[in-house]
Amino acid sequence: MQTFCTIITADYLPFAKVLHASLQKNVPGTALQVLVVDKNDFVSDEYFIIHPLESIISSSIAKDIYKKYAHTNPDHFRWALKPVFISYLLQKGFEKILFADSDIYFVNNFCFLFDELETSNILLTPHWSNPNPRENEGGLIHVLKDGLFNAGFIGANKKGLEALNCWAEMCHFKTEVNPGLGLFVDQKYLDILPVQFPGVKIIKHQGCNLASWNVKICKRENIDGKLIINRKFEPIFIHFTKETIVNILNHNDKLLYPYLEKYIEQVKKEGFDLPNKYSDLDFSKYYSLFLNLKHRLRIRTRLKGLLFNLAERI
Amino acid sequence: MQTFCTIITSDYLPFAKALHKSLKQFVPEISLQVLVTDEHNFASSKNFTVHSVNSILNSSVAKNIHKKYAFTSGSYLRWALKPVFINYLFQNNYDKVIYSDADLFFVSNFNFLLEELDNNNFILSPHWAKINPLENGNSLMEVLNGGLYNAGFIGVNRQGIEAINWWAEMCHFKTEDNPELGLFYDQKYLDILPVQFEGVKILTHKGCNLASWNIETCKRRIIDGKLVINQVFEPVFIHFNSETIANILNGNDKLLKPFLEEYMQLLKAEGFDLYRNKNFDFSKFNSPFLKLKYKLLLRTRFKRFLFKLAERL
Repeated sequence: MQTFCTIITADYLPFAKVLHASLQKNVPGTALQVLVVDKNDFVSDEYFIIHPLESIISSSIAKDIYKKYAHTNPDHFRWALKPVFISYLLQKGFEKILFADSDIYFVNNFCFLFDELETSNILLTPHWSNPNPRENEGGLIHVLKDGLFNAGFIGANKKGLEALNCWAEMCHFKTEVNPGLGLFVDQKYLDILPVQFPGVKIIKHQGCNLASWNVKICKRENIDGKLIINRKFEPIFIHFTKETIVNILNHNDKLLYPYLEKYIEQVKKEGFDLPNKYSDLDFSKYYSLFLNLKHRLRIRTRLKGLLFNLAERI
Repeated sequence: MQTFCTIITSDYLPFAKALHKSLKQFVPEISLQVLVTDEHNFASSKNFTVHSVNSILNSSVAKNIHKKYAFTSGSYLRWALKPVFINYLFQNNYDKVIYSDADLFFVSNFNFLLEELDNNNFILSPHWAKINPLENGNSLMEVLNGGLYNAGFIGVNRQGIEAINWWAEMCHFKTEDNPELGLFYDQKYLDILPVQFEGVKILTHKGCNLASWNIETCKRRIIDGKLVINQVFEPVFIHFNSETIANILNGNDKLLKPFLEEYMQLLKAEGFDLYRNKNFDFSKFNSPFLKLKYKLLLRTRFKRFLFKLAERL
């Protein structure tokens, strides 16, 4: 038995529904388990199963996480509950779990990810930030500070329970951003898993987890009318964080635009107006003629490239 | 062709010689390439080849590293030159290179490490620090801040050149301890290798790189008169940095003491008296008070009691 899962607050239900619709579209019959950490009056259907918080707070670590974060920081609480919820589902009888943040959107068949869990216990997706500091210092620092892997997507099978318990203990210890201590919420702890536990697979399919942080390394190209990543990979899922959306709208990542359009439309159908959600984002400005011209000419980029080449030769 | 290599300043020559002797005990023909980063007039001997910095500065990144660190920090220069030196050895027809810090000491056969480089491009040795924050929060932070792998031991084959070049670029970019930026000298960059490059093997043999940071996770025990790690692994090499030595002497890691004694003797034979040259008060470690303290373990017992009490509350 295999399933996807996500954790949301009640106001993110439309996102969970769109995530599920994207899963269903690519592999009909895929179930999504949804843990709602606040309200609990939503109704499940056959493949979209709602879990109230009370149902998973049974282990001592779950109780400890609840005590520590439920009343102080809802984001930290949701993040720290990931390993608890995945473990809960594994103990309930599921054999393979894929956790996805609710702002993830699947655009192709993802069955190979479940297949990976036949031989691997934990799946991790790297950020694929640009590790060349001369091209992008921020990219390198981002992975060193915030983590090699994105905690928005994790796969686990039953043999991964030990690693999940360890992750839960660390999340209970400290879920916070504290670079001085080498901490970045729940995410930085994932760096340790491939060292400490057997069967941790680093997913090298670069069509997974397309987002603002990998525009440079996971190169998007249109080949024969299809989006292809690094001339090799089909896009599998996109992580529609605010940064990713901004990058698409300001043309830095324009090949993802058709997917964003569909995503906005679907979220709207579920009663959520994305342009209004990000009130500080002026969607209209991204359609301006000036911006189109700017991105055609790319004067600043060309000038930077010239200076960079010059600096390298000196 | 395969070789070991190390990088030292001239005052560490006895350490490099002791390292080479420890290697030769198990593979008599093994060579050690030694890069000496300051002025010296050392001669090479059979299988112990001395290189000067100028001889290896044949790439732009090597020159840039030299320009950036040679006149500011001797330690940063030594650390940042690791990938440069390894690359230089590849250019000189070596196919497999294992870099070891000069304070490593091999205590059993290490051929399997060279064999790992038949199928892997890179081998990395984890710190194996304690990651349970309830038992030791500091240890968890040390690996998150300081790096998952110890940069005192790295193995590379020719297919690992791309990764080696990338590492050199990183070391040129910033070799510094800056937790706010997620940096820790040359070491933290190694975390990225298994993600970014193919064929990077994380060593799981826990007899490798025994040191102060893995006393708890690589448990030392005497079984049938022999030291065995986690009841499975033979000890392969020990990282005799100051912390490790202090831990052995103060009884925290006492099962490594026979190896330390052997190591000190080897160094003495090379003209380096560890007693005199390191800032340890060796006599204090032999005091009856310390011995009693370690028999009673009062603080440890009290801490354990409080820990259990805290867990129950």
